[in-house]
Amino acid sequence: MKDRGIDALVNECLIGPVLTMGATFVAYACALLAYLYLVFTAPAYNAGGDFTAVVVAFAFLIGLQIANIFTQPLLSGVETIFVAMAFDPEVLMREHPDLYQRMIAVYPHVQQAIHA
Amino acid sequence: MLYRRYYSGGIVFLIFAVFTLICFISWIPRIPFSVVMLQTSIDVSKRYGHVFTVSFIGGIIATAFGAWYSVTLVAIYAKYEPGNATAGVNPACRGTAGCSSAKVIGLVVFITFAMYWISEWLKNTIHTTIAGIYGSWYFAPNNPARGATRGALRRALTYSFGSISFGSLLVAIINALRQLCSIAQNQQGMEGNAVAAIFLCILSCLIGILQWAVEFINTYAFAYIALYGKSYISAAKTTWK
Repeated sequence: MKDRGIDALVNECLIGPVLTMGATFVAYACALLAYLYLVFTAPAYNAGGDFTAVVVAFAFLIGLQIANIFTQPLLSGVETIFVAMAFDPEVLMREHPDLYQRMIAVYPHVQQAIHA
Repeated sequence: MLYRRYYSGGIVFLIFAVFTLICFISWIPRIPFSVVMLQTSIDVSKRYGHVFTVSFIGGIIATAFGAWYSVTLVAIYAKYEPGNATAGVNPACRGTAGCSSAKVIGLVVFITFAMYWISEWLKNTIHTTIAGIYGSWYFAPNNPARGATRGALRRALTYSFGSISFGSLLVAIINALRQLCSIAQNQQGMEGNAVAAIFLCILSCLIGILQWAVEFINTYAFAYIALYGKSYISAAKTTWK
């Protein structure tokens, strides 16, 4: 993929970071909800506040993992398109001319990357 | 956090927020390309196969699995924790059942490792299945194969099962090493051993970079495996080049 310069394309694509940010946001929301739950219900096992950090961290991790799995298909799709573009660029031009044209229009470097 | 006067935590989050803002401003010129890729990917997800069904079922399995892990974790504590001075002896420990902190730690480490491995495997299986669906769109958009999702899932679970498990195992081992480092670093820090703590901090940072690289390779290697059906090592090599 480096030979073809697809790695530049990969870096150019923001979908991964944006989805990661979204998942992190969901995870923070989960952690906040867990914290509020602890504050408002004040369960007996947490009378001394010993478990607050554990519960909040656990909620954060579970929220992150689940949000990541739910957003996985979009990310996988984009990554697969990159891999397929790197190994079989002529299929892209033959079968998906409209997609190819649009990619060139917004990012001319694609042309060099594919023909290299 | 600031409202509750946890200033240290609040300041860390403020720094994160500012950092995100800077990232966003520097990303503005790259947005059009991402938009095209995202539109394409959503179009394909809508028209070909059952991409959203796969992700939905995967998400439900992941949620159920997280719940199972929580129950197991609590159960281990309830069964094997010997108890402490304030709470008294754990009633489950009376009689023949042997309880010790070492047993608790060992079991917790084991189930955490297994859980992480399985959840990585689940994520990668979803990834490979979806990559298979996109592959059938990419190579034959005009006459889509019937049962593309079923075929992709079957291949991910049979032919590519070993590759996916192996790749997930690598990530799980590296993550376990990293956790080990950070635990050791905390211990050294508690004992006031600054040099060892700094050394372990650098080590865990290096392992973090390694983990990032392996996850990056994995993503593309699994897409390659789904498209061309190679073995894990050769796929990783090919995608790295």
